[in-house]
Amino acid sequence: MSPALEGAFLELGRILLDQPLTTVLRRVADLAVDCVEGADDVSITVLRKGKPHTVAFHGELANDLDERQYSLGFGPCVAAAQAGQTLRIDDTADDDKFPDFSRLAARRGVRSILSIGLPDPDRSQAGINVYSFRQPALDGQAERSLTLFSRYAAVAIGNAAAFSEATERAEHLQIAMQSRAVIEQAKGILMARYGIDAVQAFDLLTEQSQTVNTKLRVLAEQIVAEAAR
Amino acid sequence: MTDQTAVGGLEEENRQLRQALANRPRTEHAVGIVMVLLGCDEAAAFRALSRLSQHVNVKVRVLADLLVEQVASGEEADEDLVTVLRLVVDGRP
Repeated sequence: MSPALEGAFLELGRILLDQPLTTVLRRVADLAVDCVEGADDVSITVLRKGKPHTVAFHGELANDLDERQYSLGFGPCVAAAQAGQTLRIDDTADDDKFPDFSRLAARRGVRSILSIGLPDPDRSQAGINVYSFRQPALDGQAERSLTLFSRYAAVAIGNAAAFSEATERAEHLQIAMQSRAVIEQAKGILMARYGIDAVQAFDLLTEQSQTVNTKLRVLAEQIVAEAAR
Repeated sequence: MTDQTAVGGLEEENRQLRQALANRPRTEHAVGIVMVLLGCDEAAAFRALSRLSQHVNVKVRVLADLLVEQVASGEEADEDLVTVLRLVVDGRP
């Protein structure tokens, strides 16, 4: 194992969860450049609801070429993220897998491309993409290094993603509580005013909301504000 | 902070928030009811409820249930209860 890979594994194992997911992803992209022989630009593709997004990149060109693939609807990074497989284009000047995209990449100076799907399809669909300006560049050795690297990176990315999801859920719950409080208070006000129960109060509230064509939450805010006067 | 405590902390926070969300409606109904009974704003209503809860050593949730039951059945709210709420909200004992 190369010293770069060893160093990367040590660092990936130590990446702390309580930093932003984007920071973790960017660091993974940077580490991949060091670990893969011939790598110039690196990006990470994540599929959300089937749609690919570049969530981190090292080198503007990687981001650019990813975006071109997304608008074309195909390309090595899309295929790798979708299927969790490895796609290697040894020479963009002579490629029959993605000829249109390869011509485009060649015009931008990219000579070979390597995309590997992250081996955790249950938790997330993602892939790492390596672009090289050199030729010959991304060979079997590069593929072995990126394969090994991506297995470790997948764990770090998976953990960071899980953590950021949990944080988001907590924030949504806070918002839900705030917005619900005012609706429940308005119901309480109607209950006391008309001697009705919570269900009847809610019916009354939705009825009024439809009659005056005002959102339930806005109407509730009005009722609470008026009662407080 | 280690990863394990970070995740554990978030899980606990989520659990507490869900619990609070489940208990919330009754308490908020009671806040609305007290607003009408005392003619005050929501902050004062909540203050009245939590002070009374401390004085009589009964959970806010239980007081809320009591109030909700009274008004929801069309009864007038208990006069003594209203008097006590009015007393505690003004900061008197």
